[in-house]
Amino acid sequence: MPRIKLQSSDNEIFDIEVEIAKCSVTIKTMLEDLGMDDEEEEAVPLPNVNSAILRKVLQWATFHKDDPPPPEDDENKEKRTDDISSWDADFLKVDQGTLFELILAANYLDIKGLLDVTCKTVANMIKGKAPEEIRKTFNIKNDFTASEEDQVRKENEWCEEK
Amino acid sequence: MATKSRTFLPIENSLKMRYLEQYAHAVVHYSSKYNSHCSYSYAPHNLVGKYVKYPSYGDFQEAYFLRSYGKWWKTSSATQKDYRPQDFDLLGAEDFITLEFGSTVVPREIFIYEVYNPGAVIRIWGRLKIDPKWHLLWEGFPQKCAPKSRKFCPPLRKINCLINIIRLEFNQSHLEYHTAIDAVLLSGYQPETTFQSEIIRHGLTEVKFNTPQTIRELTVGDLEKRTKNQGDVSENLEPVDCFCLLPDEIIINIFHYLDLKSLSRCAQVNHRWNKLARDQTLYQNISLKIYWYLVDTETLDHFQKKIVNLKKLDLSWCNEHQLYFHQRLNYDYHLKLQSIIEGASKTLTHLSLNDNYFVDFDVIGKINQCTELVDLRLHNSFNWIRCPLDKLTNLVSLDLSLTYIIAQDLIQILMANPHLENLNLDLCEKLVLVDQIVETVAMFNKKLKTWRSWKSFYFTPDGIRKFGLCQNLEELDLGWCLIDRDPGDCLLSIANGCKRLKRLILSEWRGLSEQLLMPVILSCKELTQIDLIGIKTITADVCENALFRLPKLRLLDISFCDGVRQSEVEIWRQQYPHITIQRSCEFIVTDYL
Repeated sequence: MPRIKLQSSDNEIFDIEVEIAKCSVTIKTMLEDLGMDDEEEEAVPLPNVNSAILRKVLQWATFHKDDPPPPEDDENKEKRTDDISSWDADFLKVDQGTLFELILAANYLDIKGLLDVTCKTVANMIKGKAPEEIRKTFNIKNDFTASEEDQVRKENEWCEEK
Repeated sequence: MATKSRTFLPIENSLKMRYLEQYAHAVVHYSSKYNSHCSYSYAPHNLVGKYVKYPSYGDFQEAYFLRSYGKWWKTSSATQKDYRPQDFDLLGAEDFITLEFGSTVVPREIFIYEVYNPGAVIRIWGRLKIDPKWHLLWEGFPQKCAPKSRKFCPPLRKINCLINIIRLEFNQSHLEYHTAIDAVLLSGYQPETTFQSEIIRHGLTEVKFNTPQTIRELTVGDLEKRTKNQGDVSENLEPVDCFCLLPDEIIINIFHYLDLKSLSRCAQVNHRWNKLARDQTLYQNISLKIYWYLVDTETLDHFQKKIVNLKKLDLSWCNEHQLYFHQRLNYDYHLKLQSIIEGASKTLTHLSLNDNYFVDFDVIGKINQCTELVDLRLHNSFNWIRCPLDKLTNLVSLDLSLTYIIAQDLIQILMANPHLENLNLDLCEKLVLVDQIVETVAMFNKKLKTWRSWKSFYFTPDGIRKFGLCQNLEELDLGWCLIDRDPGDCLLSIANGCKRLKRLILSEWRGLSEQLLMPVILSCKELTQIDLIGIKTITADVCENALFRLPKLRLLDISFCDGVRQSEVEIWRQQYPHITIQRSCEFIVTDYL
């Protein structure tokens, strides 16, 4: 199995199989564009991902390396959120900071499967909650004035029983 | 919040009221039925009055039957998919029936007399006929029940509101056969004076008692939490708004996973969320079916302001928030519905208005402007007779079941839509010239995969023979279409022409013999489902042939086929465990109690 070295933003080197690294479209394109061959000695720098997050990402990629390629993102794609596998659900039992950094890393590295499952997890945390509960869950500041708040409540009151 | 935790005070403890038990007085609305309007067998109307069969258990014509059951209706290529899967119903309601009661009461108990395959009721709603507000009285997951009759009495929410209308919602997808209900009883306390009614409706309840909203919110929330397997990730207490880290497009991506109700709540979080939750791409598909009890003119208006390039619109069931039989008061809603369809006419590809009685000639006129329509569902919309949809040319799926479509209009549609694959004409009573319709299909709709015309009584064997020209047919529902006639060799033509046939329904073709059916069994090797209900001339021989010769067969319904002995069925079930053999009959089993 050919291997590759990845370098995190805090300069830790990860030595992994090329096939696993290639689940990141960003890395795959980088290797192709730079004409790097499989036995490259030099580490690929990933300045936007720190070692803790990269370790998690690689753990996810290793587990999912034999998954079929995800379907193209089209409008008919099922947007349900109750189909997260139990492994992924366990994997994502992390603090919010880590979860959001994983989203950013998945976005930067272009790993569609990981981006989907992390976004779904956040969506599940939002679902069924009242605005104030959402703010509380994510420590979001309410920057509406009282009258603005009244107005947006009015605009959206269809969903609250009259 | 001391007020919230206060214990519930039943109004009957404070006011002197009359206790009353009553059976349903009339059927207001329903989404599913087994028979045409002229028939009393299995009809919704059978729910009116006291039970007649309970506690017997069996397939009784005197009860109300839902048309579908189990997974069999979902394996078809014509299965109707949700336009917005984010807004799915956790309990999976598939059908509903709305009943009216003679006396207005504060509800305390509801008994549902289930006499065949119980366990499908998942929700009970109540309202006052003159007040559009619905109260959720009970909800729960579909139940696996023993095959015996049942007096289902779920614990109702404690409310102090008056009702005289009940709506039952069903999820029958787990059942092994049709479910049947014999009667519904509503008990509760009736005000003795008009003054009492007024107090209950407008007065003290608001101040003194728990409002039903708070109770509902709690329980629905609990339910959602229970089934969600990946709920909240461990609470963290860092005072950081992690969303600040994310760029707009990722937040919008997250919002794409949300249901419409959650999106409206996100819009109230802060300025940024408010802006992002308005993103047009979030509202290309709108499905309000599961919010039917909230949808009024203002709701439609709310979404009309958000949509720009609307592609799919589902407003099935969305008329129940209106006042019954007050057409003039519903005028605004009707106009708004038309204006939404008209506004989206350039982009709309999917439109579902099932069981929506606001669909009338005017709405049909607006639909006719949506020339991009690929999927049109008008099931059980009966407030129109003529359906001049002469501008649609791109239809792939068309559901006109339980409507009054006439042949002349249908033929015009068929000739203009060469891509049509799925056509549902179940229980279309005004469809007389069916033979001509098949002839048109054979000529103009070469891609047709699904034909359903359950209980179309005007077929002749000549018309049915023409299906042989539809080589792509996968599903042919001709149940009750040829009751007393001799089918002649019309099945031979289907056997020769329709090699891809997977599902064949021939219920009550009483003139069918073994000899006439054999060609289908010998040549349609893709068959997975065969329905031969009520054909007395069917022999054990032909069943054995079907079981043995059709490698993909999974369902054989030989209910009421008296020519086959029960002992033979038992042997086949052992021999072919992968095939479901249905065998329903009106067996009377009294007193399980």
